[in-house]
Amino acid sequence: MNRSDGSGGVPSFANERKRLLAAVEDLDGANATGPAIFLWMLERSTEAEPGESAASDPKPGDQSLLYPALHSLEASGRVQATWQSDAKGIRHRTYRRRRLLPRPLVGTQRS
Amino acid sequence: MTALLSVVILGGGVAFLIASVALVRRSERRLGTGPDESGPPVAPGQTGAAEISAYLDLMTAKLRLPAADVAEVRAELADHLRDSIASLEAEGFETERAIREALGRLGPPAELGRQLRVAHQSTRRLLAGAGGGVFAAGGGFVLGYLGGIALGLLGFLAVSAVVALLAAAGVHLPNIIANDGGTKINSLLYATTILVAAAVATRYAVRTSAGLSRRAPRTVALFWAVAGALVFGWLAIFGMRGPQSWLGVALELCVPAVVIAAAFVRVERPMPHVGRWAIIGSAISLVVLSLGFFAFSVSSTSGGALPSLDVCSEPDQSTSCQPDFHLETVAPMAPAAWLPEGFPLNGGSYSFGASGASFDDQVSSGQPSPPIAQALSNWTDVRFEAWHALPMNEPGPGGIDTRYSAPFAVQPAVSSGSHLTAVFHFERLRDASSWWVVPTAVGPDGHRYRLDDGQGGISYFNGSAWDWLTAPQ
Repeated sequence: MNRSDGSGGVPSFANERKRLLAAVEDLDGANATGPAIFLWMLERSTEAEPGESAASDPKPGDQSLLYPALHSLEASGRVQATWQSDAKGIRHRTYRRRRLLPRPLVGTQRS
Repeated sequence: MTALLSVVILGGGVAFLIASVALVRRSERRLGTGPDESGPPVAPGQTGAAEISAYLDLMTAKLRLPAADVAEVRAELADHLRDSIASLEAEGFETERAIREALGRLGPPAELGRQLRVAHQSTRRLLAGAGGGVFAAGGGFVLGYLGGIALGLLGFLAVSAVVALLAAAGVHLPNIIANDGGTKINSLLYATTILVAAAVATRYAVRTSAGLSRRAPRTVALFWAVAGALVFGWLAIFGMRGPQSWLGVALELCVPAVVIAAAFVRVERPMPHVGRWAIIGSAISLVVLSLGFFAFSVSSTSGGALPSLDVCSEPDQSTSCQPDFHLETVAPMAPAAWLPEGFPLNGGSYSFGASGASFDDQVSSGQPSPPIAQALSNWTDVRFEAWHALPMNEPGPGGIDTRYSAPFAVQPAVSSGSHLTAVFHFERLRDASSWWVVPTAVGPDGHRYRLDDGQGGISYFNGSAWDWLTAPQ
């Protein structure tokens, strides 16, 4: 769980940030909670070829760097966090990619 | 054009104050108790509430963030754990094992707390905190300055009321503000405003930078204490110039200590909230105070005019009107036989400016004057002497104060054409107040004589606290 240590199967903090940012990018501006983003990342890594998995990728289920990396991305202005209530009225903290420009007009496609 | 400029400057100033207060209030919310709507992070009846609470307490111990951030992190992790435990139970885990597994996946609580603290306290936020602190300090200084003026005026009114009551009761009080042109009162007001302004600015800077940089106020207080003590201390002691007195200077010397106290003492407590009613109350107080001062000044001036001075309109024509200025204390008048045509000098003139009081004497004959250096070739050590004078803002004959046997300042006279000039900085002398300047020189017999009667005036100290401390008597 050392930030700079990327060896021996221990997830690197920088890698975790990258993976989280890619996952939030994939959400295309939608809000998602920490667990939802984590599940999304897990599915992406499962879909990837076994050879593509880096040694520094976290073990499945390891969430030790999930919130430090999400909060770090928020602190650096890469993602935006808001509190939202679900149908039961329970409040969840959700994340989405911060946009400097307004969302694209309806009908345009992301490349 | 001037009106437009005034509107722009005033509008800009007000906008700056509003922006700085808004910034401070935003930081106060961050340093406060956290978002009210997030609710309690762990419900008492929740599955694994005790374990989750214990885990979050261990994590929080290493977090060391403002209260709002701590509350948010705890609420978010509690929500995550609740969700995670429910998912694991749905996968077939027993409750106890699901709790252990969910907590284990987040890693050791102390390490999680440390990582979260590092994530929150980014360099970006540190820079934002430094910039926001400087901005808030600027606004705080202006607001504190205005508050200091109000406080000083209130104090003045309170003391005036006490003095009036004591006087009415027959208690004799020494007049400590006589003949000082209001210098003592003004210096106290001046020192009070600087003290309050420096304290408010420092507190604003600490609280704002702590909120923006996501650090505990006490951890950033050291930086602002040092910076504030240096900046405001320099400003109070060396930078700002004005009327001074010993008590005022003593207060100004306390500015660094007050800044350090403002940075540290009870800095974790929220600042008092300045609400709508506080602003309305302050505005009403200010109006009432102003009206009170106006009424006081009208009643004091209508009570009776000051006795007029006996003024000689033509002193040279009417010897009976010539008051005794005790000029013999300075030196005897130079014998007319030793002076060339055009002497004595025409009494001279003086003017005040940034460079001090400039004295100028010149030969007053109707003929083209010879260079004054040539006219005074038999005289040596030509100079201007500044003597303490009797109070000139009081009724009386005025003139040299005979309690002194020597001038308090001497400047060699510089001859230029038909002029003798010298510059005195009376505004840098602590007790110059009323003075009389006389041109003198040593005659052919080796004795000093005055070349004319010179003239007097009043000046009050105007400089920094350091100028006051290092001023000659």
